[in-house]
Amino acid sequence: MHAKQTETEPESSRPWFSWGCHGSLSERDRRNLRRYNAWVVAFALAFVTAVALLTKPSLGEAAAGAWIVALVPDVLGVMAVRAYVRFLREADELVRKIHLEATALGFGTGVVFILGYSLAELAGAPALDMPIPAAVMLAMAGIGQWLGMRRYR
Amino acid sequence: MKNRLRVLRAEHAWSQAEVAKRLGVSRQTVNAVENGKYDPSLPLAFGIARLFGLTIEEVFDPDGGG
Repeated sequence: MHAKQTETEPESSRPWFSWGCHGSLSERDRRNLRRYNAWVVAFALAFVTAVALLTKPSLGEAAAGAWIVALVPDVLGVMAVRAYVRFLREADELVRKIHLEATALGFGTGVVFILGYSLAELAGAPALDMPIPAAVMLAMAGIGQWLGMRRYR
Repeated sequence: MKNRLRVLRAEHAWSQAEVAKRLGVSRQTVNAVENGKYDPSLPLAFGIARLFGLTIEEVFDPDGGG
């Protein structure tokens, strides 16, 4: 079994994107989680910027430029997914269990929400914006992580 | 599954953080195993037993609840 450091680090020395990197995590888990958080922030900023740019008529008419702007967040999103998979593969076994259960909760809730709302739309509910199911998935995964950390603390 | 981790740790005067460092896991994992909230993987169970120079059966009781 390879040794991992578990020392805590002072709050003031943590980068601003260190949320979720609490003291009981190993140094490797903190580092991997920070890397993932940084890619998520980059993805979110690129997504918001892309929406702002693509809703401007000037860029929306330039087809090639519009496609590039639309694809940049996807690349950053894939990098975030890769970073999260790496975090899970290398994580402490209890941390991995907590995150996998939270991810399952988020994914399952998202699927139920999407399919359930598609039926609601047939029944007359207003059409749903695409980012909303993603927000539901992320929110439920976050709640799942919080519940997991409480359960096993 | 019941275990003697807390007793063994006390006998060696080791903190949870120290045991965690020796095993290469988080302190939260050691705490969860100690309190019976989490059953460790087989490699970690072997690691815990080896750390205290015991067999798995001497550390973990599969018939115990928890």
